[in-house]
Formats: sequence, structure tokens, C-alpha cells
Amino acid sequence: MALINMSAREIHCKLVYYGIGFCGKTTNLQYIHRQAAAPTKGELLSIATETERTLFFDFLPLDLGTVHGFRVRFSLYTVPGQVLYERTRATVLNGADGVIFVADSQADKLAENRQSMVELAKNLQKMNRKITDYPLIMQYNKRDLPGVLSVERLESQLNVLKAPSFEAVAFKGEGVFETLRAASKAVISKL
Amino acid sequence: MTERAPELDHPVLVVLTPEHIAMMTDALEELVREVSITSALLIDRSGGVVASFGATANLNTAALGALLAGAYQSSLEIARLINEPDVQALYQQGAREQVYNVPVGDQWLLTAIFSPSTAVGGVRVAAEEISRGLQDTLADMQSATPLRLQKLVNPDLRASVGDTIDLLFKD
Repeated sequence: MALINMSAREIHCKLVYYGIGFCGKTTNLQYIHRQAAAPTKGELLSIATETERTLFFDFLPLDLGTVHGFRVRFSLYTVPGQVLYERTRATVLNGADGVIFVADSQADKLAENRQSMVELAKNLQKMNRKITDYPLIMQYNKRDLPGVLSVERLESQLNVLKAPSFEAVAFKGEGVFETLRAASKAVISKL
Repeated sequence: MTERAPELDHPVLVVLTPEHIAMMTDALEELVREVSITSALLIDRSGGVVASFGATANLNTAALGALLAGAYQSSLEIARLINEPDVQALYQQGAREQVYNVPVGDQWLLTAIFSPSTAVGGVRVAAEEISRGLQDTLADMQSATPLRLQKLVNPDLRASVGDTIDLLFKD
């Protein structure tokens, strides 16, 4: 839920990275945290297992500074990708103003990606949000791996809503900021 | 009389006026002073800190808001799994600082942070009373948001935020 605080002159929005396990959600946040300028980024908080798999969420606050007298802040979250954490994903998604769906481009992950997209739509519906009118951005990650599905195939299988989509190699940073720019602008456009 | 917009089923955006922030801060101050706690926060359940009072200067309130909202939402899920319909409070006991969370309506949380020398029973009673008092303020804030929003967010602001995003979010 976006908050506009007229007293502190602040706009605060929440963006959630959603997708299956090991698709690269945390990698996106880690890259943003490494690359963003010091005054913009806050501390990256990760609630993860000992093997660095997301247990609850990752959280990265971003401060865009003052624009037209308003301080603009984004809170970036990731959900845990593993199948059994379905309820945790719904919890983290609560109140999100926009979603970046990170899809693993490998062929053997297509069914899981589709399942995750169906789950996302269901969770948004529970929040009384229409997915057709919701700031949603697709990111096709791991484009550097051999034998990945074509973008056309991923679009036809995963992006039935025709949301803006971007190719990425998140661990190298390729496509990471492009995706974030599109998602944050989509959120702002809905205010 | 406050101009009312149609009620939203589930708010997607809330405009907090200076008057509302002042009322919330007054309520948090009352809680801090009445039971001598360290600090009090009002948090929306998606993780944003709306208002605070007390010794918060050295707290990472952004991370605290995210974690407290997450912890509360988790407790609701635990309740659901054990067929408990409600979570009335969440208490974290520590050696130096303790945390007591109570819901305020369906969308907000009131958090009290206090030392073990303060009796948790007193915090509970005071926090529940303040929570009840805050519900009207928050309901008014939510229902009047669409009307206020029209005056606030204009195309110029959106365009400028877009330019800032282009400037900051790049390799």
C-alpha cells in the first residue's frame, strides 16, 4: 500500500520480486545494492537459511531524494521461491504496489514458472487487486545459459497479460536496472 | 465535516495529512509517557512506518517496519494453521528490550518497545486503549484518500519522479 505522508512530504511505495526458487530475485537486489549510489540505498536485509536461500524475504530500501518537494522512497522485497513457502509469499506480497516477476529462462523451469505466475495472480486477487490493471513487469533471467527458451516462447507461455518484459543476466547486472526502472515508473504512474 | 469518498474494500494508497500525523504522534506520545516505554511506532501492514515517537533516532525504522509487519503477518498464518481466528497481540521478550505489537484495525500495527523494567501488563492495557482510539483516525484517513489524492499527484510530479528514476537507477 503506497503511503503519501503530507507532514513529512514523503511518498513510499513497495515493490516485490516474485518467482520460483533460484530464479535470481535475491541476485537482483544484491546487484542493486552493490551498484546504487550511497545516499540512495539503505541496508540490505536478508532473512535467509544458512545456505543463503531466502527463508522469509530480502528487503532493500531505496531513497530517490526530493522531487517537487516530496521525498520518494521505494522498498524492494523478494519472496522466498521454494514451493512450500506459498503462504510466506502471500504475506510478503501484502500491500505491494507493483511486482517484478522474475522468470528462469531454462526450458526445464517453464512449468514451475507458469505455476508461480498462476499463484501470483491468485494472491493478487486475494488482495482485491486486478492483475490486468496492476503494475507488473516481467524479467526473463539467466539469458546467458545454453539452451534457454526463446523470448517469444516465454512471452507466449508466461506473459499473457503483455506486461513490459526485459531480458536479464542478473548476476552480471544485465537488465537489472532496466527492469527496476520500468517497475518503479509503472508504480508511480498508478498513483 | 470531512468530505467523504466511497470506501475502498482494500486500500491501495493512503494520504496522511499533517493533522492525521499529529493525531497519531500525540497518541504514540501518550503511550510512551503513560507507561514509560522507550518508543512507539505505527506501522502499516505492508511494512511502512507511518508515525513514531520516543527514542527512534538510532533505530533502523525502515527495516524494523518491514520485519514487524512480516512477523505479524506470519503470526496470522500460524493462527490460521491452528484454527485460531485472531491474533490479538505479539510479544517479544528480550534481556534489554522487549517488543509488544497490537493490531489497529485491519491494516495497521501499533508497536511498543520497552525495557524489562516496564511491566508488560501495563503496556498491553495502554497499547490496546491507544489502538482503539487510533482506529477512527485511520479509518478517516483511508476513506478520504481518493479525494485528497486528486489534488496531490499531478502529471508534473509523475514526470519528475520518472526522470529521477532514470537518473538514479542505472549501471
